[in-house]
Amino acid sequence: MNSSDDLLLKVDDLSVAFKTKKGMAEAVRGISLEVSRGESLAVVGESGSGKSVSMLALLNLLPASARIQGSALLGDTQLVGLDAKSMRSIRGRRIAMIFQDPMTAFNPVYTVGRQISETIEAHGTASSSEAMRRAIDLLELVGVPEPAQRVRQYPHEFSGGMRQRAMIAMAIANSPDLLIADEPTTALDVTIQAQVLDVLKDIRAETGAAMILITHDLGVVAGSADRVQVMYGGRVFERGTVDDVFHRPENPYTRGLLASMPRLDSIGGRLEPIPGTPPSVLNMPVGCAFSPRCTYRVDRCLQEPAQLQSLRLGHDNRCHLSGQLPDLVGSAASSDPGGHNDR
Amino acid sequence: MTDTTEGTELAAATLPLRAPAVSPATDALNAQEGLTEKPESLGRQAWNRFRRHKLAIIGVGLLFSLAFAFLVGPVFSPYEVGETNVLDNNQGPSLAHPFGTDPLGRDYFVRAMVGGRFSLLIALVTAICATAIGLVFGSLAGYFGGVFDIAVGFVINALLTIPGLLILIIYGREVGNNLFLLAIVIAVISWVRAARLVRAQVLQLKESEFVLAARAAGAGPVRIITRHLLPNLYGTLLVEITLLVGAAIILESTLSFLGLGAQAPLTTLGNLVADNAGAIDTRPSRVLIPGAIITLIILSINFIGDALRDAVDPKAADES
Repeated sequence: MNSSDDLLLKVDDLSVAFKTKKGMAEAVRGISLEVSRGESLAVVGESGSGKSVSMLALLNLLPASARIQGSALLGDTQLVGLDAKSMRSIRGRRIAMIFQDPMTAFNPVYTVGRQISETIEAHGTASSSEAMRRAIDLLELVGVPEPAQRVRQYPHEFSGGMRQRAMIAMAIANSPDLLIADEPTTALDVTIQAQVLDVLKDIRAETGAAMILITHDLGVVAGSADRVQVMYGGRVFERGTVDDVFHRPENPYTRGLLASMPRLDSIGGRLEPIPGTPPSVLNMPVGCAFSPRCTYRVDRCLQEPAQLQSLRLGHDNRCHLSGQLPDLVGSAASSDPGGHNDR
Repeated sequence: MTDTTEGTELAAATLPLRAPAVSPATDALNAQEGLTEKPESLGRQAWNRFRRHKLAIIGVGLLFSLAFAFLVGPVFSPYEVGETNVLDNNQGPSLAHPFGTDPLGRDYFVRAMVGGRFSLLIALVTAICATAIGLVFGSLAGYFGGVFDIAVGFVINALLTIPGLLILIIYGREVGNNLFLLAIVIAVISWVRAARLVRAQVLQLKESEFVLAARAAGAGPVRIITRHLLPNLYGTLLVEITLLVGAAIILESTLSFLGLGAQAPLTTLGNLVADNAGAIDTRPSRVLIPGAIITLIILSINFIGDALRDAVDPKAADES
C-alpha cells in the first residue's frame, strides 16, 4: 500500500439503499475502498453485487429514491452529501466515468467532436475553438484514425470500438485524477476488448490517472488492475493484489468465480458454475450473503454474517472459515487465468 | 449515390479494426477515399429520407404554390378585397373574374386568396404557440417531475374535461376581429397533446445513458435540457407543428362556419364557406372553391407530416 499522502479516494462504510414499495432495498451494505494516485483497482462481482451502484453513489448520480450513507473522501472533499454545484465541478473534472455501452452513451444528434468539446467547455476551461482542437488531439491520443475528420462525424458513423475510444477521450478531456470505468469492454467484440484495454492502459500511463475498473470479467482484471476487490451482496468479500487474489483465493466465492471461468490451458475440462443465484437485495440471508450457495458452508455461516478480516498484509477476506479452507493445488486458481490479456 | 459513398466511408472506418490483415497501402487508400467526403449532417440525412416520399414532395409543392398564390394573387388582380360592383354580382367563373363574384359583386378570386392568407396565418401562429406552450410545460414536467409534474398533469386533465369548442364559443366572438388573439385562444386549447408528447419523450430521454454520461461529465440541468434533450425533440416538434397547422385550419374553419371565429371584415376560408352556404344550389362554386382549398391544404400538410415523422426518426435506417 502507498503512503497516505498518495491516497486519492478513501471510501468508508458506504451504504446505498433504495426506497421501494416492498421496503428498503439495501444495494450496498457498508463497503470501503482506497485508491491511490495512479493506481488501478478492479471491483469484481456478479450483477446485483452493488458494484455499479456504489460507483454511481460516489458521484451522486443515482435516482432520488437512493439513500446514501457513509463517507467518501476525495482528497479533502467529502463526496457524500456534497451540494449539487460542487458535485458538478467534481464530475468530469476530478472523477470521470466511462460507461458500459458506447452505443447509447453518446447523444445521437451531436457530432462526436462537439460532445467531447462540450465536456471541456462545461467546466469553463477552454474556448469553443480551443476545445474542438483539444477534442481532435484527444481522439488522436486514444487511437482514432483521421481525428480531424472524425470529430465532424456522428456517433452512428463510428464503430463500437471507435465509439468506446471516443468515450475514453471524452472521459480524459479534463484530465481527471480518477477514471471510473463501468464495464468498459462488456458491450464490445472480444477482439476489440483487448484494444480498448490497451488504450486505457496507455492513457493512464500518459496522464497518471487512477482507475476503478468495474467488471465481471476476471480476464480483464488480470490484464489491467493492480489490486482487486471482490463484491457480493453489497459487501466486499475479498480484496488484495491481483496476483495474491488470483493465485491464492481465500474466499469460497472468489474460488467459485475463478472455477467458473473458461481457460485456455485446460482443454476439455468442464466449467464449474456456482450453483444458485445471487440473493435479492430485498431479502438478504441473515447470515453470510453467500451461505445459500457456498460449498464450504458450516452452521455458523447461516446464523451470523462474517466480518472482513486481514489475512496477511494487503489481503482481506470475509469468511468464517478464513484461512482454514484447503489449498487449491493444481486447480483452477494455480495459474494466471487472464494470461491472454497480458501484452 | 449517397448510399454508396456512405458505404465506403463506413467500411473504411471499420477496416483497420475488423481486418488488420489488410495491407497498409490499401488501408490508407480506403480511409482517404471515405473520409475526404464531408460527413453528412443529420439534417441532410433527414432530407434524403423525406425526399423518398413522393406524396410529401407533391404536398410541399402544392402548399408552397397555394401560399404563393395567397400572397401575390391579389396583387395582380385589378380588384380590391372589399371592392363592390353590384352590377356584376353573383357571376360564375369567367375571364374577368376567374372564381366569379359574390352577391355584392366582390371578386371571389381575391377574396379566396386573402381568406387563404389569413387562414394559413392563424393556423401557423396557433401551431407554433401551442407547440411552444406544450414544449415548456412538457419538458419541465418530464424533467423535474414531482410537484411540477402533478401540477401540469392537473392542468392538462382540467383542460381535457372542458370541451375546447365551448371555450372557443365563449371567447371566439370576443377575439374574432383580432387574428392573433384568435390564434392564441386556439393555441391555449391545443397545446395539451404537444405537452404530453414532449413529457413522455423527456421522461424517456432523461433516463438514457447519454444524459447520465452528460451528468457524469459535470453538466447541470439547464445544459442538459437545452443541449441534450431539446435537440432530440426537434423532430417530434416539427411533426407536431405540421399536424397542428392542419388541425387549426379545420378548427378555425369550423368556428368561422358557426359564425364564431374571424368576423367581417376579416376574411378566412371558413367564413367564405359560411357566408356562401346559402348559394350551394345556385352558385356551388362559391362553396366548393374555398372548401377545395381547405382540403388541399390539409391533404398536403398531412402528407408532409407523415414524411417528416419518417424523416426525423433518428433510428430510421438509411438503406432501402
